[in-house]
Amino acid sequence: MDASKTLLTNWDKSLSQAQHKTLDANLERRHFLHTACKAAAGTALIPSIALFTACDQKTKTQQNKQLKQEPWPTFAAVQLILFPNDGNGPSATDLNANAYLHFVLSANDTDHEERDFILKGIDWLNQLANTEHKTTFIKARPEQQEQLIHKIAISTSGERWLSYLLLYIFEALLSDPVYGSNPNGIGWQWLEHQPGFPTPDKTKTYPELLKR
Amino acid sequence: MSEFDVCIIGSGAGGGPVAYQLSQAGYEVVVLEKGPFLKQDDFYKDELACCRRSVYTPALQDEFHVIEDYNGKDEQGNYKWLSESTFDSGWDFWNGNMVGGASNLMSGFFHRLKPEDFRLKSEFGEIKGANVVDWPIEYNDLEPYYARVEQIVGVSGKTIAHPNLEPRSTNDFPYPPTTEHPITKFIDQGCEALKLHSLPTPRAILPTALNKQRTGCQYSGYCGSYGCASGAKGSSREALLNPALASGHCTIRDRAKVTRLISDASGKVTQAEYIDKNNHKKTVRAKIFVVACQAVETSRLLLSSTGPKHTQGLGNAYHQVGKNMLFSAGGSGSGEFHYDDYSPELGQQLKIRGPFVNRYLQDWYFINDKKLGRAKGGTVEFLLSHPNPISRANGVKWGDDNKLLWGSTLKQKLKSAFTQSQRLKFEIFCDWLPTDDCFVSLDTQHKDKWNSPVAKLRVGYHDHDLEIGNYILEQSKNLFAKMKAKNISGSVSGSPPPNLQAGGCRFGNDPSTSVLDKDCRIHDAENVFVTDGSWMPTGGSVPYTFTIYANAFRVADIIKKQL
Repeated sequence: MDASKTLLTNWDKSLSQAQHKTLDANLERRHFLHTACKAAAGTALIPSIALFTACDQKTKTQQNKQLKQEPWPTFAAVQLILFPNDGNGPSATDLNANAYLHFVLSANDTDHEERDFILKGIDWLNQLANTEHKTTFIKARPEQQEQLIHKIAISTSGERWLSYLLLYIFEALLSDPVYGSNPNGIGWQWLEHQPGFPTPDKTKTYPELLKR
Repeated sequence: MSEFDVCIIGSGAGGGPVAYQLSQAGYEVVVLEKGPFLKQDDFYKDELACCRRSVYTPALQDEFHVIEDYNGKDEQGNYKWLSESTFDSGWDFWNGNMVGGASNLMSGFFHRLKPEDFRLKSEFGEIKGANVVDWPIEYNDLEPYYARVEQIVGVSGKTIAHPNLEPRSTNDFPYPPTTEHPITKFIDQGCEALKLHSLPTPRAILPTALNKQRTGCQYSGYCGSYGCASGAKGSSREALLNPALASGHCTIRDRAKVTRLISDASGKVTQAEYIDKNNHKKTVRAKIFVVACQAVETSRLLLSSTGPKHTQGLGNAYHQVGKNMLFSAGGSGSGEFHYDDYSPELGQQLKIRGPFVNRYLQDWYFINDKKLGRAKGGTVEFLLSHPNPISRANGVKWGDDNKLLWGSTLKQKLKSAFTQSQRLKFEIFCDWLPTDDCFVSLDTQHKDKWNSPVAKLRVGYHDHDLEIGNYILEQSKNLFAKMKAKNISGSVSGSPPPNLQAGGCRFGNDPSTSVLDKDCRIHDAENVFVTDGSWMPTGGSVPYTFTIYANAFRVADIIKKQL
């Protein structure tokens, strides 16, 4: 078995059977509101993310600052491969998909296993980039990045990781602009989707309703 | 000394009518509801809040069920069961955890049962392996209450004569049908060609304003699974609890989780014990208690409420509580209508979202078939595929080889799936036969965040359900072919739909085979009634909410006499 295959197999093996099951269950029906203590336990692994749910200016500034630091540029690069700027509708960048993913992973209600898995995926991707090309993913050439994405998709964990990233790109594409993505409804317009009405204002987003 | 005349546990379709009737009559009523009090101005068309986060249902980490699902047979041919928590599987059995319960989120298909549904055993005979019984009441006992619900909750529709129309004391519905989607023409034409009866769907949605609080439908195209922002939907909260509160005789305590009912040596319940929103243990005293927590949780609460006379749980002297659970059998299917196949005008009309596909069929409510013989069939309801775009997009990401798609290939597939056709669905509602393999018990290993044993639910089904479902599926697919739909598909399964629950505390005349008497009163606890769908011994072939509402109005009249 070559080094890349071993690495991807190890990624699968690094998760217990229960973790595999939970992650698949979450992906199946994205039901992941868990207790605050579990969410807090998860944050220990991701010290770079400040917990927030509000969309005020201060948090936005904080978020912008964090998005310039790894792992966020790597997330942005992967998202752009998954949802490219190809002339057919908005790209992940147009949708603010990276900021949206940051919002999701920072929210108190996100399952800690899911959060850890998504963040850990960047480490595995970089390890693969190092094994294959002696560099990090973000520094790899575009064709090398494409090839690395194809390679990780062969493994169970890699395909699941990409599925999670796609799920949050879809949320960025089609959820209400009040959540900071899908600016001016560009995703809705591209897919000729008629949103319902009334739509929520900032005081009635789901994190606000959860406080009731 | 009782603080209240009546204490109602649960505020959905089973609790609302009792609160409404008794508070309007001047009795002091308290409603204990586990979820929050979300109001009309808290409901928006937001897929994240509605359907992708646990906003309207509990977090599965905190509260879950254990499901025992069919897992093949052993060497002796006995069924094997695989036990898994819903937290581990993601298979969520909660529905509408808020004031008004799941009625806030219903689609509002409001069909009455037929007289034959009340005497299924006499009409169709025994089915081996199924615990079918006749009901202790007849259709005529419930009919006036169906009419009352149509008026008070607000049901829109139009009565059309057809071979399986049930008797009515009123000529027509009190409200005209909601606006119809242009695709209904296709259904009507297909049905005409096949000599079927295309019928306008009765719906608990007001087409026009009733008053300042309940304005007419806004036709946003987002109804089922969503709370109503205009008050048009006849939820228990909007249609019944708001007027109950206005009477000055109703108190609603939200975020109050009832943990047990406390009974005395005579078997009467004296208090309900609950945990309030501040996590404090409280009790409330009342003369009469009404349990309406939705079927699974009602059985769980009764089983958890042991007392000096109820050593096996409230009403469980003969081990009947939790038995003979019901869901809705059947399945669903769909077909596509491609805009390019029609004139530009018609193509544009088909794209519309907002008006309802107000059509249903009951031509196969009773079946006469060479293979099946004379059998109980079901209802077919038509609707557009759900508008939730995130769920839809997420379903597009797999390629034909079952491999994940991304990049431009995925974007092209998304664009095509969203913009080239309208998908019409059909849903089949059949009887879920009661069996010994579908029941609720208390799990001995898992507890919720309040340290109460969670409900364990075995979800076995009867093969007869699949036979009936498949018969109707084939008929429905024929209709879609006649309508020239493309990519027609459909399936029938024995998997229980978690939002269509009933049974577990069936009513009957024999205390050894039923939990409740014909008044829905627990046989050996004279001041406790059950009014969610738990009382149903068989469920009929339509969604349950209308019948739950009607029966709860009936029981409210009985309680009034007892007070």
